[in-house]
Amino acid sequence: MGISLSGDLSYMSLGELVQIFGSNGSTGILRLMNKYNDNLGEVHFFNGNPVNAICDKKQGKDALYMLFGWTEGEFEFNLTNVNEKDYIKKSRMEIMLEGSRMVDDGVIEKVGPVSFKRGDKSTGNALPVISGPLVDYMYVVDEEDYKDGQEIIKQGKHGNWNWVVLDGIVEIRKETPKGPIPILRVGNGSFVGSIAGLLTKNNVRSASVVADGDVQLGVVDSQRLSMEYARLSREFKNIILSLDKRVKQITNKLVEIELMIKTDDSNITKGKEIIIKQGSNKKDAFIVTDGRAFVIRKTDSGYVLLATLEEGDFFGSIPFLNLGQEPDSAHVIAPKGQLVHDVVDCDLLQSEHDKLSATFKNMIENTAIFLSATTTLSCTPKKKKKKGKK
Amino acid sequence: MAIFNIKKREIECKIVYYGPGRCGKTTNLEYIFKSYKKQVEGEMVSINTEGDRTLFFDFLPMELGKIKGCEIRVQMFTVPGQVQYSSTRKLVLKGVDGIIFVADSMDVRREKNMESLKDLQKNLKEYGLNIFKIPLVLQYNKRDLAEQGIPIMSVEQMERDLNRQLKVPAFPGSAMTGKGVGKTLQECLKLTLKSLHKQFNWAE
Ligand SMILES: Nc1nc2c(ncn2[C@@H]2O[C@H](COP(=O)(O)OP(=O)(O)O)[C@@H](O)[C@H]2O)c(=O)[nH]1
Ligand SMILES: [Mg+2]
Repeated sequence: MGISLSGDLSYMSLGELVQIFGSNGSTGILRLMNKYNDNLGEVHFFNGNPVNAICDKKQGKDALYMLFGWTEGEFEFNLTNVNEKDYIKKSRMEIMLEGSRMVDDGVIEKVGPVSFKRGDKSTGNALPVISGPLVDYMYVVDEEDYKDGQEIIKQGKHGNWNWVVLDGIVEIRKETPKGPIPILRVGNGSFVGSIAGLLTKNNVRSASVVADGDVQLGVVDSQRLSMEYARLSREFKNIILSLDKRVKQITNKLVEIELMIKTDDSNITKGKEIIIKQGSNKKDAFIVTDGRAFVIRKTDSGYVLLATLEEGDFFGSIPFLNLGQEPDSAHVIAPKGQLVHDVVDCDLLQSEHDKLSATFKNMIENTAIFLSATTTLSCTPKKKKKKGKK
Repeated sequence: MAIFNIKKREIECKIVYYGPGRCGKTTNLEYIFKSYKKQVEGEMVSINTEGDRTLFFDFLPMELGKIKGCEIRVQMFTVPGQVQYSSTRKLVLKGVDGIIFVADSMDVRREKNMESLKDLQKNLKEYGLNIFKIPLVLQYNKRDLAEQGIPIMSVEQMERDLNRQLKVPAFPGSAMTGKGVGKTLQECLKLTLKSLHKQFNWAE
């Protein structure tokens, strides 16, 4: 029998699916796909009740609970005979509520681009880890192994190579006069290096990268990606360069915060007008043609300056880029009456994006996730010490 | 969104007890579970959420009769109150057909009641539901505390705080003694049924 229901997990969660199949008394197999996981997940339903589940090497109830962490991805339900033993004895409502609770409580990890797992020999570091989708080995020209603590990239040196993490975790650090400051950690599927490095001949490394535990990296076929890059329109290249600039700016912001350099962003709104309001769902994107604009986030403790935009920089909402900044999570402001900007043709960008190789797309997505995670970090008040449960 | 199950000749709908933490949602549901035992099908599911328990059971309210020969089955839920359970709260609210908002009569909980009602409105909106249109009943709980000399708000004040714009049925009650609990549920069931009739476009 064919597929009787399929869709997106971010739209309809496993918890909701359990309710729906329960109400309909359906019998069949639900398959879940998540690009951050090598294997498919399965849940078997008999008369509306989940009777078994498979997730990686786990089976039964434990597997089912793990699958609640798959909040992204796709699902497919096939009506088919299921005649296996009842491995799962709990009622479906209990499973649904318990599974959801475990995700909320952090007992079950969400499988997605950002997690908090630790490196093999990590020193109790609790920085988030960014993961990427599965690696396309067509683009890996060589593999390299690094030992725990070994430096992969040194800040300030020239270099154009890019790596993808095949196994393990690396830490990205900024070198400062007061010693290195950890910014973020990246894990399997994530890229190391910078997408802008594909273009510039003499790319200067803006951060250091160090192995957190033993890691295996894949050297990315830069030549192939550079050729792909070269074929892009000027507008598309601009977006990528501008994105890279934002990453560098927010990384510096994090360093300032970490070093407790007082940067007063509280007066930033003075004499300025709002171009895009934080929380608006405006779907347009623009490019600065004259003047300057500022991306600021309004937080409970005031404004945080995230980026300064100049001629050639974009702002707004690019369909394939979720920056974690404007329009949903930041304002764009500019000195009254001084900003000149053009509308970006998003349809054109989107169709160009559609034609990119999966690896190139992943690199862009990875950069955006990195930006979004560092933005969150720089807007989260520093906790002195993790408080125990009340 | 109620589910119409032709095979089982059943209409399944969802009623959720909403309200700030410790207002008495669990106590309400426990009281119903105990005193309407004959109309309850299956076990009560109880999940331990921090500082709280989240409950579920199936309820078959006889007095509602049938719609077009279909039995009505009501899934009764409480939502976990703590902030961190946002996805569980959303999951429980998805497809809700009727809501009982339990407000705490204690003076000190005034702000919390109003915040929680706003939160409800926001959550419903995310599902494209309108708090002014969904079957909703208020319960002003813990009225019994007055007898112990604990300061509580007057019903009039709670009406002003919470029901000025909504103008939905509201009942004083005490989930602890059971007073008003049945009445609140009856009213919510009545409104829910009316709305189901409308949804399925069936004349009564
Ligand atoms: N005096 C009194 N106490 C109540 C009443 N309803 C609930 N409580 C108490 O309030 C506390 C929280 O109740 P609970 O039902 O767990 O609240 P929930 O967080 O909304 O589920 C418990 O200690 C209950 O015994 C009531 O009507 N009167
Ligand atoms: Mg409770």
